[in-house]
Amino acid sequence: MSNSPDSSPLTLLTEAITRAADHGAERPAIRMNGAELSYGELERRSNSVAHLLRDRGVRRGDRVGLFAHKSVELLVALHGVMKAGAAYVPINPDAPPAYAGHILADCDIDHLVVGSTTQATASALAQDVGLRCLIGVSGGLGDTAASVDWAEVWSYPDTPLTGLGLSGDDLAYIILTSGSTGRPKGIVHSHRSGLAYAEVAAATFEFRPDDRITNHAPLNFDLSTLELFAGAVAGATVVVVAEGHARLPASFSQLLQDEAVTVINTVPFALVQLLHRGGLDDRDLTAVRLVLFGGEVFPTRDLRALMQRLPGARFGNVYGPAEVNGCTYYTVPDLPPGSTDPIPIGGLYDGMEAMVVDDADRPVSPGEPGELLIKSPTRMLGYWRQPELTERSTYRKVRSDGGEDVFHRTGDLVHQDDDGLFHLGGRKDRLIKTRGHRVELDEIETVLLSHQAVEQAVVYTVPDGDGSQQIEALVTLLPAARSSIDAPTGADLKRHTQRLLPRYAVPHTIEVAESVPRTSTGKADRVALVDRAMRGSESRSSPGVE
Amino acid sequence: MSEATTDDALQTTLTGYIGEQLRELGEDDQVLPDDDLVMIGFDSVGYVRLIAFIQDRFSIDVPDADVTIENFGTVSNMASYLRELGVSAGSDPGLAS
Repeated sequence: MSNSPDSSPLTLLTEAITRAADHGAERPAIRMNGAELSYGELERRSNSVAHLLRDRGVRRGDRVGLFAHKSVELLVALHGVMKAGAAYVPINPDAPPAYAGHILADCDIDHLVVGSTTQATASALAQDVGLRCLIGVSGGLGDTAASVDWAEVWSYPDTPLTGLGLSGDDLAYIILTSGSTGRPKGIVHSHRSGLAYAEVAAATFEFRPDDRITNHAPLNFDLSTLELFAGAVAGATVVVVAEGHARLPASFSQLLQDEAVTVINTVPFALVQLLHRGGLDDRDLTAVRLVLFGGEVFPTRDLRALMQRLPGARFGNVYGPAEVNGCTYYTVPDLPPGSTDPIPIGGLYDGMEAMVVDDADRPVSPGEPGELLIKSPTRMLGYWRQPELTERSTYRKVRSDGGEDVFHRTGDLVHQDDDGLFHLGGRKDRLIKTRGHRVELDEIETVLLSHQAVEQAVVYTVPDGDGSQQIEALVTLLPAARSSIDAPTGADLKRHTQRLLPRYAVPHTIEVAESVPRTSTGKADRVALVDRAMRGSESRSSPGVE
Repeated sequence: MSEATTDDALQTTLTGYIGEQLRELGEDDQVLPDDDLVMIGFDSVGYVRLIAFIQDRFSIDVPDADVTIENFGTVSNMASYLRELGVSAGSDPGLAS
């Protein structure tokens, strides 16, 4: 960022907005549904949110929930919460009340930003979890909790809130992810870890003030921190993709065209949808210069096809567990025709260090697979109120000078190729044992995706009742293949896997379905598939689809 | 049959199908013509199925580029869009009797 007119280093995430407002108060910060908020307005309005929260009793280190569908006000509130010295906690607005209530209780949230679609749920939960104030709606809740609508919020002073003495170690945000035990894990980031990621990402991807970057992921998905914070560091415009536009690929492509978006950041699933159902023949996306994707594996065949549709854009695979925000990236070169090999996750951002270790934490030989450990200034403070879990995810390496280097255990299996690039081998917990064999479930998905008619593939395991795991698969077919008389059946696909995999790794059944169930963050919902299979095995003795 | 009746029949068919999908998702299955479908829990998978249903039921082709919020955000928008494509209750074998 040597061309920045103001080179004084930032300490807090929120200072990025203040700096951008100083440099160009009229420049657009947020655009959504045709509305626009300038950096000057974002700075002043988020100050008002901070004053309101302070006035209502929010103190440094408190948590304020964000429980609403996307709006300009929601993003203003996100920055305002941090300016008040509190951490924002984004909660999926479509979450069932019990899940939202659990998060509110677990994070001791008293103040909650809501919208018209979540107000009823929030009101119903208010007494149970001790909410004191709902922000963003009018109409009181009686004795239970106060409510403050936006007009009242904007009546608070719009000057900076001073005297809090915030440092880089203060809490900035908590991202909740589903733990394997079903209890959500709160990943706590500080201003320092958030800002470190924002700055390295903005520099790596050369974000500029004239960039218009999509916010496609929901706020409860850590992918969103890239555009929200790296965008602010660069003084760029965040183009918010409302939930409806995110779910309809042709509306998403229309938005990309209308807003002349320059940088897309989303999950591969959304890009595959854009490719197959986005009506791209009728859209002009020539403004797009960079397409970033992460969160899961992008099927190589679809990636190549999308790259051909957007010849002027660079494509970048971004990788990193939410615990470190992000750690590697890979600029995708031209992909050879016919290749279905997964692309690498690439190399580390500047300022990070990695180790690849075996089960006994010994570094593996070059090129051998092992768990990826990351030392990075973007690493979280820890898991919310789960110190043992934090410690288990931490690896301490004693240096020769007696000091200690602290690494995060990603739980992801990788190997490094001759060029030093990391390749994802799957989750440590996606490496299963069946009938005594070690099987990589992601490798089976890759084999299924190598079939020319397959669009998506999800492989999961179900306990077989004999203490082992039975491998199951669900696939969807490409639109062109669906209506074809040559559309493969589950049995055809099973023969395909039998040709390419050892017998023990061939799925027991391959179901050809219309769609893959997805979680709120757009990832394949394997838990739902396992649940369904378990329920199914109780009611019927033989598998329905073969 | 008047225009309004045709439109109502179309809306009933669409509302019935979307209600079924919502019920499967565990959501409230009551759909009003002007409900924002995304906000009442209809997801992208639901839309893929809905388009397949419409194409099959009315024997029409819905171009990908037309599947937008403007055309498919609510049941009443959908009905207007489909009427423009020439769909009427008569195109629906299920309602032809």
